[in-house]
Amino acid sequence: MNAMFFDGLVQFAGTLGYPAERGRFAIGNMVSLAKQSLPNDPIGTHTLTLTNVVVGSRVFIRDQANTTTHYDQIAGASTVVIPLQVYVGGSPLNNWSIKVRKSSAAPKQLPYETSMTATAGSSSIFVSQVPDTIAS
Amino acid sequence: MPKYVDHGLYASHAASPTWGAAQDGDGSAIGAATSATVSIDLSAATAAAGATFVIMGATLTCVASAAAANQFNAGAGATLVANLVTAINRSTNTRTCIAAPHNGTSWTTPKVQDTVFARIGTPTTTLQIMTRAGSADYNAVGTISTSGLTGGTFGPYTFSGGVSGAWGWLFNPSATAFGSAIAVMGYGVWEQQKPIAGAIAAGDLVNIRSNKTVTLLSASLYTINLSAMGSPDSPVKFVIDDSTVWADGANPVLRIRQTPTSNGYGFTLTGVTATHAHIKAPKYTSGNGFILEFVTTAGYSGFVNGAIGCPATFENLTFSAPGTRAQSLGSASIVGSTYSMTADKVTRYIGCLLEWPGQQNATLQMGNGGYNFRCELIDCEIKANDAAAAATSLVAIHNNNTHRLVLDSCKFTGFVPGSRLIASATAATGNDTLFVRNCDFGNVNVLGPNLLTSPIGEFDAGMCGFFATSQYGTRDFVYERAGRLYAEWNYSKGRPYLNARLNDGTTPWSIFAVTANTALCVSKLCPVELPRISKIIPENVDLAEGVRTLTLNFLLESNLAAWTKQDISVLVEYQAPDGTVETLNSYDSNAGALSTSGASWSATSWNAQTWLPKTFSVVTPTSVKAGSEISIYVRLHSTVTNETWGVIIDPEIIVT
Repeated sequence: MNAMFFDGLVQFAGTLGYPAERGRFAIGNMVSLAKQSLPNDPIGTHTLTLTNVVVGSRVFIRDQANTTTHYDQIAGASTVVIPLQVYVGGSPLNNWSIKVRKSSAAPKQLPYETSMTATAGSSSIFVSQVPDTIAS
Repeated sequence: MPKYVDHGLYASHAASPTWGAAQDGDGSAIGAATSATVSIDLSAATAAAGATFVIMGATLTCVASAAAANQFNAGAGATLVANLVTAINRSTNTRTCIAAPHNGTSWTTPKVQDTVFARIGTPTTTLQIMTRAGSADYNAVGTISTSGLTGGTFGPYTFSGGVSGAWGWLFNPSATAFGSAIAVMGYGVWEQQKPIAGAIAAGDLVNIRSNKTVTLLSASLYTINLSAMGSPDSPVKFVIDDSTVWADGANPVLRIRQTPTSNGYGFTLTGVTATHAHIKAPKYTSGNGFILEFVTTAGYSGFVNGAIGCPATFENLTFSAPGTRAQSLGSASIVGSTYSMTADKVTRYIGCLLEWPGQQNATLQMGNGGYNFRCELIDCEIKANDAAAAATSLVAIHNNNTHRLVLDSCKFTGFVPGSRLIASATAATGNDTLFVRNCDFGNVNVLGPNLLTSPIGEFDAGMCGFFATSQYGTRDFVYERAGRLYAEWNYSKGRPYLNARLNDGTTPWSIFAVTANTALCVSKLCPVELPRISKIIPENVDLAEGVRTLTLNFLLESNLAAWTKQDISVLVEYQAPDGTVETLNSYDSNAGALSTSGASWSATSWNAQTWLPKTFSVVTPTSVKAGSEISIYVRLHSTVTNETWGVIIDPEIIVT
């Protein structure tokens, strides 16, 4: 689908294809056009790397409003690489709560918890787990 | 009926020709022309003062003695013949021949000594006259008459034997021409004095033979100056032959070459205000079929130029100064001229190549002070060979009158990274606009900010400034309004970004904008506006119709930390559910503080500068119609003193 624009400068009059998907910009003829993204529209990925994780820990990532689980797995190595979708800017789904726990089998660890607002790209978090000397 | 030019077909355009050998043709046939001649027996004739001898409307008058221009001395028989020969061939005659006696009434009206050549015949009482150009149109027309001669009836006389043929001169490149000694580069199909026979009529197709090199004198400045011809609705079309008309082998090329012997020479191809012409050369895989070249290996400076100022189109021409910097300081440019254009006229270069050694500046001159111009370069290549440093100003903007330069689908090659299109802080006080569409700038990657200066500023977008868009690749754009604003999306700059992505879904992008530092051109109540950002609101099925909050994220250069909502604002246009168009302006005359944003930009340090994340949100007072389009204009209300400051905007306006 094309839209014809005579916007701004007639010198640049021409056609501009409507973006097929939400959240992507078509640019041309001095016009920038995008379909508005919905809060649950993914716009890319964020590769989160957790280092210094005690093997066997459970890594649990949800939105801070506690509505959606993004990741929930047991760490098989001390470095855990997690590719996750990120959503349109302002979406609460980008507000992550990251929890790392190892409380079922020895050596048990105190819960590690942090939070972040994700955007497309990557980041790394050094996980400082503390042994749970009482529970163990 | 097509016409023909075969430059160099005739041996000479000297004042004294070889008898009977045509010096030019009338353009109506492919081969060589033959002169028309006439022999007049004046053995019984006597001329006294007051008698006349008229050749094709040019009247020579008899005087008793001391004949000057347009006169001949009295005499009888052989003496009269000798006197007439002297008079007809006199270089200072001003009498011109009229076109009317010929079949073609649109012929030019050259001087009599340029039209014909006379000699004493055998016996010496016979006057012989030949036409310098050959044309069948000279034949059997009573074009010579006398009055006042005694001793019989003398005339009218008619030429005979004329045969039509191709024109033989694009111009006279190295010597004066004909009886009046027309200056070098003054005569020919492409010069101010058009051919003496035949006519270049409106709408004509003129074929030009190729496969030859026309050499200009080495130590002169030349202009190939096309005369007035054609009309706006019927331009003359010159086609450089590709062996369609003449059998000149594969890919023949027409070259015009100057080989200088010292610094400061060169030549220009141009025309006048009424040159309605289209010169079209073939485009081979090996290059263009018409090359104008300034050739030196001795390191001389000079130029080969095309000029703005005539309503002509030049297609598939190469303007070349070949070689390395050590061999040549030649340049190839499009320059202004001393002719003005009106709105219905444009000088257009299509498929042309400009190449030169080094990184010459001002290769595209938008005009000339005191004259109005429109020029378009379409699918042209601007090529720097052996460049050693970044160019600092490839387009020269002039600062008065009306100048329009359009670059459409052009490419810049061979430049050193960091080359600059327009010099910083160029004055653009007139109506000077550079439009660029879909160009590949290559290493000419500094498109701005240019901070074009204009004391009164640009009143409306498009009047004065630099505007570039692209519908391909990363779709970069430049929006520079002289004296007011510079804004761009330039992928190669690698500026910080936030949420916005191009249509590929992965490439991030952002808009940089900075206002000019021209007092009174930008003010609180007269902001400057960035191009529209359009957002299509989801349909009701995807997102329930309702009041929306619009959030703009941007980075503010730290030197502008004092900016408030009175310095940057957003104008929103949207449609209410009942179809009414509403506007919403975030401008705050109370200079409320901008809100600090927690958005995670890709960087807040860039270009050795610190950028402060800011945001502001506006709430629509009514619901926004589902599926409608909203328009967002970012407005800047304050001047900025440094072109590297300004704001970086995330176009992904967040609508919640």
